Amino acid sequence: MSIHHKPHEPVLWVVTGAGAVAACVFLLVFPPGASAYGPVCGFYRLTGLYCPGCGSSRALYQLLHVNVAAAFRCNPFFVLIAPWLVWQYVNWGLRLVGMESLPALRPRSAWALYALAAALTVFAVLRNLPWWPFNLLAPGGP
Amino acid sequence: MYCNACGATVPDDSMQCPECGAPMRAQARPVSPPMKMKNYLVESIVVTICCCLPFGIAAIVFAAQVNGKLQAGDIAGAQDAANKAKMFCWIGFGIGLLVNLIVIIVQALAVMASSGAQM
Repeated sequence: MSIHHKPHEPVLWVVTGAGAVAACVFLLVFPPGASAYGPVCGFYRLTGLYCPGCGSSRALYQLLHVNVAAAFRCNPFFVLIAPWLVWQYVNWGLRLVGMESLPALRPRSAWALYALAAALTVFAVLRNLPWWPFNLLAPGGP
Repeated sequence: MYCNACGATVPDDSMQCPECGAPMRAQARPVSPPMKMKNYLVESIVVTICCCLPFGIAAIVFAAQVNGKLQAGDIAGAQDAANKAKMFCWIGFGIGLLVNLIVIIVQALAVMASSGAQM
């Protein structure tokens, strides 16, 4: 497989990984909700509505404490997509050092991605509905 | 190029393979491997989770378009969709970063103002 990497790509890989690690450390030092610090969701601030990402910081915090069920209640999409994102990151690293990457697990079809966009939109709408069972999708759950 | 019948190396403008005599014009050109193009799917998903709602989903839609156009053989269209996906990723990331910076600055100003009032 030919390599067409830009020269700065390994740096980008390291920076991305370092950023992810830094985010985890930050969450452990400043638990979400327990302190005033932390990233804010502009969408929530402006509209008061939950976007598909709302609760992912709290979900990551729960995952760091190996509390998968609680993480799911904070943001189910995040819990499902986080392993996939890690997989993509690992594959990226393997390709950079010239090793055979693991199966890409990226759909080649268009319909799969359209379905993902639709599912995310539905998720964004449903989690803002105040009735059961949809409110289970909101961060924090019942 | 190569003769499909015997594998001999043959000059590109040959009409006939000098080794086995198979006609060169009749042979199909080598098939190029399926095009791979960056569709920014991973970036779009990260932007959807971290940053600004509509732009992340828009980026995913354009990533879907890249896949569709690649499969249809529309390379130019796929590249155009990839550029749009990339643009929406950057917009979402930029807005998310800007909002966080504004909040940090406002919080810092509030802290400074309250400590100033106590002096």
